[in-house]
Amino acid sequence: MKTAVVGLGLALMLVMAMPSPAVAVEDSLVAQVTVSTLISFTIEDSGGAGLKFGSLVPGSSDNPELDQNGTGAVRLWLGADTNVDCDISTKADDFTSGSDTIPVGNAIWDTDNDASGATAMTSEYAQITTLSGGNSQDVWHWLSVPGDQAPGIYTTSFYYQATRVTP
Amino acid sequence: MTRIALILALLLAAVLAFFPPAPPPVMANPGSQTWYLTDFASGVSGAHYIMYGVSGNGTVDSLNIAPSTSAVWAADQASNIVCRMNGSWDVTIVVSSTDPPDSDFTVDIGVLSGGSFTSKGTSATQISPTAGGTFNFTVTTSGHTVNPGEYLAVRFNNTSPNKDIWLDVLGATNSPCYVTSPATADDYPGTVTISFTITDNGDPGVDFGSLDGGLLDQPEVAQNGTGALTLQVGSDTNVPVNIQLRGDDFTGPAALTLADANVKYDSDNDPTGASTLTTSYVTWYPVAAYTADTRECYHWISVPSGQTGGNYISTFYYQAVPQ
Repeated sequence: MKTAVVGLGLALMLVMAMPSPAVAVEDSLVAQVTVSTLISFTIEDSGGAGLKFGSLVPGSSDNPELDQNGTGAVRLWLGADTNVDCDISTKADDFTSGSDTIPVGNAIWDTDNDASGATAMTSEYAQITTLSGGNSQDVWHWLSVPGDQAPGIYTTSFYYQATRVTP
Repeated sequence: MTRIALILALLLAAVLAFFPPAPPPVMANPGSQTWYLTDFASGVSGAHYIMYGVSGNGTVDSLNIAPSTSAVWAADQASNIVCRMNGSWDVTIVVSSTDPPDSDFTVDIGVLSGGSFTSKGTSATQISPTAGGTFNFTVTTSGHTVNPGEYLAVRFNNTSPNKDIWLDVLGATNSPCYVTSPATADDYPGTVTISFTITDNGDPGVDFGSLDGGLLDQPEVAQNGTGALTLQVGSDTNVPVNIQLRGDDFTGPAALTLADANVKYDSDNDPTGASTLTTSYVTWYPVAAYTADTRECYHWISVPSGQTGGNYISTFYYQAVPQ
């Protein structure tokens, strides 16, 4: 009991010896700013306008776009003023000539001038690469024509997009 | 058993240390306070003796004050706040004896600061016969402010050129020599009170909205006639304070330091001449004690050219701290 009393006394002495808390009144606020996203995206079409695969024989495979060689059929640029990293993607529609079609998957793409290992085009966007501002990516295209394909001029649209990488 | 009790007591000490009891309520004018003059040496530069508030007495009934000399008593504690002690002080001096046939003395009440006593009021000359006696008189002080760190002080002046005076500071529990403050004086040494309020104008927080990179000095969206926020110091603040502010670097999809964002602050709606917010507290302006002060705080931000797009968050801090 005596020790307890001494202990309590010691406790009170310790409390009394504690320095007073620093006297200052502080408050804070959350500050925020949203920096606008700027994406500058350019498609540089090598050679003649558009993608041209020329005149092809049914049953021929992996026919290159006519203007691609040292450079891709297209060069995709993300401008230097772009302030976010972007995913670069592509898609295409089926080729059509009247009621005849060549499936979109007969066209393929790659990031080098070698069709082996290239990826089939799809009607949904598929990612090619990721770029930061001031950089570019060449894309090569090839087209295979089914053996029983009806003759005609087939057209389609190839699409390319840059979308901000999700932080 | 006793060991357990000791451990429990130490635990209680730790708990009380982290959660100290609430301070007593602040009383600006607690009524008169009395200080008792003793013969205990004061450790305060410029003071000879201690005078105790509430209660206290000395050890002798014949404290000698030599001819043409003075003795200074300092309060047993320095002031914590700006104590306003103006008014009429009641003084009681008990002279046990003097050199015959009589002697003259006066009493000053004032402030001891930096080793120097400054009188804020002087008594009329008192004349004591050889046998001494009890002298009750008043000293009226003016401009009598005791700032934090300074001491309330009393000076006894033996104005006789060639006669000693002996004072009785013994008493049973309290010294017979004492001074009593006016009822209107502040509590001494006082408890620090700081009233500081931030009013956030407009939407919560400091919001700079959506900005393009490369734009300079863009205002917080809510500020126009009023600042982004309003800072108020209450008149019940009883110490001089400095208003300080700082901010954290922004966090977001890329680095954005406070310096890069060049966040500015000013009290008017013009970024020209505004100061730059830093990550360490910087004093913006001082506010005197007992002074209500309301000030608008405007903020601006500059977004570096090429800054990665996205939402950036920071915290801005504001504080009132005793000078």
